[in-house]
Amino acid sequence: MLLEVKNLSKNFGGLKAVSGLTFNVEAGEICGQIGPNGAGKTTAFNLITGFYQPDEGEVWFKGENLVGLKPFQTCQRGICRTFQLAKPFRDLTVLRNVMMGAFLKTASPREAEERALNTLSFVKLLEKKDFLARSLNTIDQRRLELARALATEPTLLLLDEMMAGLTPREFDDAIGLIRQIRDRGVTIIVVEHVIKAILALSDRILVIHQGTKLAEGKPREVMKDLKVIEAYLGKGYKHA
Amino acid sequence: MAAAQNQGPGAVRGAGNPEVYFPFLALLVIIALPFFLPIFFVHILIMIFLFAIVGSAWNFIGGYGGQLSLGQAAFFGIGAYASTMLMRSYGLSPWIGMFVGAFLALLMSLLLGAICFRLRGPYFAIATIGLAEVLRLLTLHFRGWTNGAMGLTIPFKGNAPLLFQFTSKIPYYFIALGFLLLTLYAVRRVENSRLGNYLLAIGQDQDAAEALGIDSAKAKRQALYLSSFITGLAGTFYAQYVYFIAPESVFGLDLSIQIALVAILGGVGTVWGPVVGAAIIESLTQFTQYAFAGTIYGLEQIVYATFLVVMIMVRPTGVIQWVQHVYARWLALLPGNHASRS
Repeated sequence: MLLEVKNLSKNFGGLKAVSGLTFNVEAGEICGQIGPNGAGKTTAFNLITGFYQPDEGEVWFKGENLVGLKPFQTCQRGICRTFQLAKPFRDLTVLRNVMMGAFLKTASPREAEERALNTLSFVKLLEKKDFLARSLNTIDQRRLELARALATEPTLLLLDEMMAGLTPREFDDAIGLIRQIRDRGVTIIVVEHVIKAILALSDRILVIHQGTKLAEGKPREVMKDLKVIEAYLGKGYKHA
Repeated sequence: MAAAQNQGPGAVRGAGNPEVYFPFLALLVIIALPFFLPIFFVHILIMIFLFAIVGSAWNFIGGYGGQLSLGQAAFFGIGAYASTMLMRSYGLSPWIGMFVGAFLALLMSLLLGAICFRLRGPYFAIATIGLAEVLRLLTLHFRGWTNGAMGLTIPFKGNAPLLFQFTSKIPYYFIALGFLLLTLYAVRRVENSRLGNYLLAIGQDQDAAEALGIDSAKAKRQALYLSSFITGLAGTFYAQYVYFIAPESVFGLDLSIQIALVAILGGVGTVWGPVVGAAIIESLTQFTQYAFAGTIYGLEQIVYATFLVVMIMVRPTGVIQWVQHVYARWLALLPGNHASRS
């Protein structure tokens, strides 16, 4: 087991953002997580990567409890995440942005540049390497976000809502890209709002609702689950 | 960086290329200058070099690291007082006292780094102001050691190179120039290193930097160590050059602000920005003094401030981009085989 999340809880004031969340991720799989707005998916990411400290619970990764570590430390141990709202280094070039990730594994600027160029060509952003990050459109900013995370050569990649608002073609590209990343041996957790994306990508799906795990299983099994249809699809969603 | 590589070494390195020969010519001129210029101008150049040094040192933390330090005088004052007190009490040569002072400044930055990098943005700036003010007040208070507000004079030994004293301004000129070149070299080295890149990233978005495994507190501490050490060395140079230090002149908020201003006006996070900023601010200070002091009370400061405001309004991101533009045009006018630019 690569990642074991045990009984993770986090309150903000009186609000239980995450409450007793437990799940496992196996090496090499794509684990999809769905749930309505405010279900606690992003909070769970923040807890795993050390941006928030949990009130309770444990996060075991490669045999080590990550609770108490800071974000840079979890990244150094091999977990890298993207942000739902891309956070590029706006005044730096695309190449320089990705080099920042590559520097995790090498202190040499030349080698970092080389690795960054490889990563950029992988996410098909190479021709824009000299653009300032601020000048990219939303889609390219997400590619950049992904490239930067990949450049750290993570064991486990956490992708937070990468697919929202993509055109069908961009959507297919993104699905292909994420599969390719997995084929390179990276384990991936995908948080998505778009059910179609989760169904297409995931080996296993977790349904999160009100900070806790509602259901878990293969994509088809989960979709048949009535509770899910109630909680996630709700009344309005049936027609959507 | 990438562009230079693409053009191949031959195009850039040839001695006939203005990009190569002009900086050398400029350096030769700078070396020859003090032998021709009147003393007043040599003095201005020395002050420009000094502020370019401390502005560059500020740039490590304030420019590349994006952490606004308004307390650089703390390090400057420690350097100035340490070497001066060691010389007065124990006859220690300021050449050695200089490094004692710089290490003490470094120690102070260890303390500052341990406490203040929990703070972000304006809170960090306030903490740095506080540090310098505390040191200023302590030097005022412990009169027995520091002579309080009366300040300390450096005992005059005539022309004594081993004691960092010269009767002519020319040696000071070359010491400052050498010191500046070393500082610029250090900035360049850091800029191209992992640390320099990390500082840039942190200055842009600290959360995103941390998510990529960047230990932001550590990188900022390292930048602050470099910054404090260099500023401490500069403090000793100042004391030895001016022969007199007082709490207000070396620990004062005015000095801290001027140090930051040099880099901000010139262009933060660039190698040459602080040099350009220092040249503008120091010549402006000196010339407005010279032209307007003794006419209407305070007129020189009004003129100085007006110039600054106008410049910052016209070039809010620093004068350096404009200077680089002019420099590139100037190079294009010079004879020689130009590297082809696409």
